[in-house]
Amino acid sequence: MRSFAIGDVGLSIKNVCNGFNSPLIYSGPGLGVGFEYLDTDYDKSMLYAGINVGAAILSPLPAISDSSAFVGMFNADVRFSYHSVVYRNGDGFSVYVGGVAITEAQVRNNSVMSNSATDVNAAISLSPSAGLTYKRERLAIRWLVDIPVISVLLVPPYTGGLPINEDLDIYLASLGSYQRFTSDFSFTLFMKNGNGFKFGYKYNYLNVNRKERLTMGGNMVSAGFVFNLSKPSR
Amino acid sequence: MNKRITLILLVCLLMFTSCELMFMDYESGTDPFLNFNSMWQQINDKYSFFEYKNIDWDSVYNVYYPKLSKDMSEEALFSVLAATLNTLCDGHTNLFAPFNLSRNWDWHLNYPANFNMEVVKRHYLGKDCYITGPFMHNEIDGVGYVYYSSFSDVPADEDLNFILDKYKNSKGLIFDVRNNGGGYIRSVETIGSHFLPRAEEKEYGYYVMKNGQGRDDFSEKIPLKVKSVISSKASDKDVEQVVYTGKIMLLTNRNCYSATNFFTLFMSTLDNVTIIGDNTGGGGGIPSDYQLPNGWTYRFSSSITYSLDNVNIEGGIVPDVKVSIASIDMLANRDSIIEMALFMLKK
Repeated sequence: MRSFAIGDVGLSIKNVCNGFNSPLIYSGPGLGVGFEYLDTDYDKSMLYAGINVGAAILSPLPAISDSSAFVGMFNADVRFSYHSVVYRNGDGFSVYVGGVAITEAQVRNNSVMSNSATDVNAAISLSPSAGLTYKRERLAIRWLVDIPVISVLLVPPYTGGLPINEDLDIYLASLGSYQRFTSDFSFTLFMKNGNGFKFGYKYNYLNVNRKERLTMGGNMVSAGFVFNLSKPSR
Repeated sequence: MNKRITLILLVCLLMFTSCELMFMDYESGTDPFLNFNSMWQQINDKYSFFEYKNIDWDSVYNVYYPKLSKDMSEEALFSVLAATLNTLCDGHTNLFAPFNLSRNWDWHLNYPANFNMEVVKRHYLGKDCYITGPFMHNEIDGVGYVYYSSFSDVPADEDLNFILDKYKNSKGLIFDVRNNGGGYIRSVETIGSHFLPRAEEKEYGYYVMKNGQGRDDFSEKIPLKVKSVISSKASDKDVEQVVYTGKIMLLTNRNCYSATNFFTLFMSTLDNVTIIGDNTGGGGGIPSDYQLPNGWTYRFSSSITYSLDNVNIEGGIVPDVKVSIASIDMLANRDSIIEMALFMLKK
């Protein structure tokens, strides 16, 4: 079993269409940082815990006449996952299946709104997940995909179009009203001492269909350092 | 094998890039018909006063939709959209474009002003008046006079502590909110909290939010409350906050709107307050904001506010003592409403 602590920073492009106050797509760049813990033997199982936070500034797509409009967005998520190997071949290629528990929250603020400017959503979800890894002595490639099937959602009641007027609604959501998809691809180049450099690409899709429809997607490329926490083998 | 796996992975990754755009229900563009329909539909679903104002929104569509044309200028489109909004006769409806702001000011421009700031400054506040936070104030014949011009200028408790402490031994307080077009409800709560005795919480009305597409789809009653700035837990020694429970004359005119209307509603529930002047202009709906496909923003009322007696305050609040500034007083640079308030406090 080998344990790693990973810190990475990323650049993202996000797209948001927030039906409660605007029919426009907002798009723009963002920044993110992540801290992760990974425990894996590449043969049997993979345990992962991570926290990611990010912020983005989005402007209408395509550009409209009122150029002052923008959406500031902040997001955070905490993920915990466990995967087991279900297939492995002699070339270092493994297939994993497992589950992910995710807690996430997002806050958005539209610069040209007043009473309806701020919108929030949060969710606690359980997802089945599947992944592929390819491991060589100095290289590890990983691709994980997860889709929540059951979630507890916190969203505004959107009474009168005002997002935050009363307490947030809390309800149990299934795939019909809440869709989320995450694809997380990374490859890690290891040095002799077991530390390494990680490069990743993550895609997120989110759709909350509750009175008003929110659709969001984000693409992030990231780079980070991998610290080998395991004792050197003798 | 390695190359094949890498290729499959890369293809899969590229497949997901920005595919969310395919699933988004967006409307973007400058087409006048698209923009008109977007605005008309949002208002149709979410405006709160159709019944109260007896507005036939379908007929509004039939009147204004034919005025659109494919090649009309932005300014012409703005005029049609603004005219459509103005059929709601609501001071909380506005259309914001980079080159203009539509508004309905009938609620005060159709009535006498009953206020002249120059007269107030020169003949009542005087050159030596205090300016404490957003308030201008001075003592007039043993009475404290406070002018507050906008609920968007957020007051601090310290401002109110200073003012109310200064006039605590006066014959009474005149609180003038004429020409105050509104602002933040939290400013109402901050000021109101200094007019309630220790530990008192006052419910002064309630509102309902539009929460469905039907004309009668509204939320449950949501109470409007103000709580004294001095809580029950604070010991006398610790209390630094000042509350004023003496006689208060609240001065209003038709240019009191929105949050000022809410404040007047709150003050009307206090036994020590007399409202003097003209009706408030109204504005009992909380406006919510939306965006058009061309990026312009607009807003309209999405709630209804009622007094404790179930009176809809959209049309304004009637004062206890109705006074207008008389022509002869205008010529003499006198403010009849302030004079009446002074008379009532000194008698």
